[in-house]
Amino acid sequence: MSSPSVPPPGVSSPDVAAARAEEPQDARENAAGVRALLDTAFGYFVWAAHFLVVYIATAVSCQLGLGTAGARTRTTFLAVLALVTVAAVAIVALHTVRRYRRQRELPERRFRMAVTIGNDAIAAVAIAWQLLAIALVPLCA
Amino acid sequence: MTAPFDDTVTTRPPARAPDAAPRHLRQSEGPDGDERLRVAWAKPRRFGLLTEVNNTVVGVLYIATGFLFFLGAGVLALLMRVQLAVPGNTFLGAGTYNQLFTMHGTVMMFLCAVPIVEAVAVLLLPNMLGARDMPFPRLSAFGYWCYAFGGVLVFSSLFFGVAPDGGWFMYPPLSSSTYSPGLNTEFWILGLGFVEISAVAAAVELIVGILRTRAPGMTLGRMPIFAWYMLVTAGMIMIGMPMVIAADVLLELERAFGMPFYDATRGGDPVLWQHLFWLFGHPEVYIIFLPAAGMVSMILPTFTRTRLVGYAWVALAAISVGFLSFGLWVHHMYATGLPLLSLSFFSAASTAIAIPMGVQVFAWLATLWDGKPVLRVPLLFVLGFLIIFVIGGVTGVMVAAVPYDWQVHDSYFVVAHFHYVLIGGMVFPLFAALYYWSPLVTHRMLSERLGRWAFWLMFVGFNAAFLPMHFTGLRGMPRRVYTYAGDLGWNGLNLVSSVFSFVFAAGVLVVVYDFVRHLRTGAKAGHDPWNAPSLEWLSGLAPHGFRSLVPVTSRYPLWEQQELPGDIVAGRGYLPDAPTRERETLVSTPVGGVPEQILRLPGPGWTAFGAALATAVVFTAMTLRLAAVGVVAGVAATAAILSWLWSMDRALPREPADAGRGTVLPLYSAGSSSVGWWGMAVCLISDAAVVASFMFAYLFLWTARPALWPPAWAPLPGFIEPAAIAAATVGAWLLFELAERRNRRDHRLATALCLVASALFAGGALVMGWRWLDGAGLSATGHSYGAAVWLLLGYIALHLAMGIAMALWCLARLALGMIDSWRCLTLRICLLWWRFTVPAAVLTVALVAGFPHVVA
Repeated sequence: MSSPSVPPPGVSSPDVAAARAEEPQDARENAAGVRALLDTAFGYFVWAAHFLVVYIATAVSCQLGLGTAGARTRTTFLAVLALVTVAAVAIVALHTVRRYRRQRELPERRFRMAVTIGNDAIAAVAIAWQLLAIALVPLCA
Repeated sequence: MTAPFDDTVTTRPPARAPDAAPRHLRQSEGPDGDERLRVAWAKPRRFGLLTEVNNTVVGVLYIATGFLFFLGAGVLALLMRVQLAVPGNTFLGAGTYNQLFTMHGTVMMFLCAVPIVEAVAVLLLPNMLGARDMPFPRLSAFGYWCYAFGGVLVFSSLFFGVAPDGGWFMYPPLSSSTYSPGLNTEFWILGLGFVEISAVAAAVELIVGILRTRAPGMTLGRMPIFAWYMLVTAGMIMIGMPMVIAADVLLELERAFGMPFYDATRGGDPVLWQHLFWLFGHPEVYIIFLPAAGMVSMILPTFTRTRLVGYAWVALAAISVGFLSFGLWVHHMYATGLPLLSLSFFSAASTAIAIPMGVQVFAWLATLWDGKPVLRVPLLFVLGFLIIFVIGGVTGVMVAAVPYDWQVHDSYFVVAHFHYVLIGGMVFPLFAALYYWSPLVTHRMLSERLGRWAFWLMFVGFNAAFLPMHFTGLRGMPRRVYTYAGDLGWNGLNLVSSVFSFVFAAGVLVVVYDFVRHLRTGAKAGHDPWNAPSLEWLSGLAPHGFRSLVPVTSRYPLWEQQELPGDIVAGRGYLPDAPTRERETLVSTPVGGVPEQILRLPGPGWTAFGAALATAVVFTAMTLRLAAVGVVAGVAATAAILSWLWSMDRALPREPADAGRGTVLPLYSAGSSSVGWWGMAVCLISDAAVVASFMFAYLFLWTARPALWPPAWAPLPGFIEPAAIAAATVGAWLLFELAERRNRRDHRLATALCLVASALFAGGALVMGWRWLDGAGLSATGHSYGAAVWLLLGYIALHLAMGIAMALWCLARLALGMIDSWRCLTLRICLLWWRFTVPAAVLTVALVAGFPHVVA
């Protein structure tokens, strides 16, 4: 085991204790690997959260009588949905910028950066697309 | 082009200390090593088909069974087309027709499409990834046998006139005991139960296999593109399948015990079924499509003699489809009366998914443009796929628009649309795959001439049969009618569809004939007849698969690593030997593909087959209400599964072993490096989806009738009992944590005491929960509110009971010396269970206790 940040994959000696000592490092490395994998799909987690929020908020509010509320209440509700949507797009955009800045100088991470940015772009479009529905479709109709 | 996914884990070299390995465990590159490998991987001489667990046997069985179901369901379709060929036909009665269309859809979707794409992955992926097998071979075999037994049972119900008849989506109230009192619906639930078991089992295999058993050096960025597709697909199965499992459980609880989840007269809502079913049902379309797209992406480079254009874009498009597909479920429910704005959200998501689908189509077209296409039969089927699937995709965007969908909802337009998507998107690529990969399995070539005949018969037959259905639908013909009047303008269109459906079937028959013929007389295929670039084509160089596991430095190793075949055959890779005559493969890191461990794999045995057979008898006996048989089979199934579990986490040498290439690796890991730990973690994702589905059901039933839910007569829950239950559950978990920590120091007595105390705390939580529910006087059958509460708490009780069983299991193994500070994987896996159970239990109890106060 050369350094904490670069643990060896193989066991370099039959010493059982040395082998066991690697366990926590392996765990950390595996967790980092899974995080790296999930980070490429960050945009879709934001998309999913946004989708659930706007869908559930609309469904529940309409069930609770938002459809018969005054025009001002309904406009406020739609404005909140629009703000949430813009905020979700902004979060995805920020993630893209941060990943680009962090990885653009690392040629070996080109694939990872491409997947992350591409996913973020599609997710951002999918989120922004919901603005059309919010702007054009009547509430609780 | 071969940039690794993450550099930090790929640059470090494997440890080199060959002298450290015990002499008797040395790997030999010579013929003696090859001989030991042959012995280790030899197929059993007797009952090989029943006892072999290797992916090359299980995968072939899986595909063959799926194809038989495809032919069976195809015959049902032909019978329906005969009935619909002319108006007023009496070839089939209404009841029989109902059974036929239900079974056609059910068999095609659940017994053919999903299993067969998973089967292709089980067969091919280990070889594509440069591994010798999947990480859990017995689980694969168990999944296959469950599927085979369940499928045969469901299909045979047709011959006894008790086949399911409520449509492949089995909507309540039609499927309720009131309107479907017979065994028909029970058989559907039975069949689906088996398919769910096998699908989830295969998905666990695939996720862990793809992430943990890749060839050395195969980073995520160097994986064959099919692996990306299957990783996404398996993830979708792990999330999507549990939702339909949850829907099935609720349906069976309603039918068998009268718990009214879907019964509107007692506070239930049939729309709940539609939500849960389509939460799975829409991703299901992509679960079927994505693997087929993966096959296309593997086949295209071979026949265009160039690399796949936009590998990264295709991979991210697959990920994108995997996520977005879960936001489309309501587009099957546009006619249920949901608010317009809600429908529009789903409409927007349905059109957004066209972006990643378009990315893939353009990548395939660009690959064709970039290369020099060689028009062999597999490419012909791929081109057919592109044409048909794009048409299906375009009509998909049309029905994603709410107003258009309202016009064609439940009409033959929709039938035409989804057959274009499913036959174009899955069947044509599957036949391309059959022609492409058959030589790998049978070592013979299918006929080019017969293949072309088959393709053109299928292509012309399909389009001429299904294109007219768009117009039949636009003229107003509804789905699922067994006959029609002759003056509605549908006669000619229906006749054309019926005639050409037989042309399509003739094409399939030509393939069947060709396949049977080629097994004896097909031209001999070399190890790589297509000059393909991926690793699986080197697995035929030795009878037992790879002679050795060589490092990979490219996405197209056979094109760009010329030395590869020589190195593999000469045993210059990892594991060129089987010094203990046991089956082995490498475990590598999930991102960088760095060798991390030698994984000993189980060989042939009766465990998987026996457990699946006993489970099948249990399910069947329950369906047929044969209590005594069910009890006996239940005992047998439990014994088989327990004996299987007992054999796991076995004693392995504690010294690291020679892995070849001058490297030594451990044989055992008890932490997150272990594939068993990963398997459990993936299973818990599925479990979380079930819990989430049940919580969704509880909350949805409130939204259905917010003013009447909970009903006025139901007492509001107190807070003291739930708090005590939550505290006892947390206590049980903390004690299990403590047991694991004590065990690290080999404090056996303290470990045992902590395990006993953990079981007692969990038992206490169970008793308190029962007394709380019983004392509340909340009936599970009177109203959906009570049913939902019993459901949620019952499921958590099941987790606590499992937690107790795990504590006792660990205790027994500890007492027998099968758990210690080194050999502690069982304990850590059980701890994972508790780490999931505690938040699930606390959240559930908080919901059940707190939510009624919020809304009352």
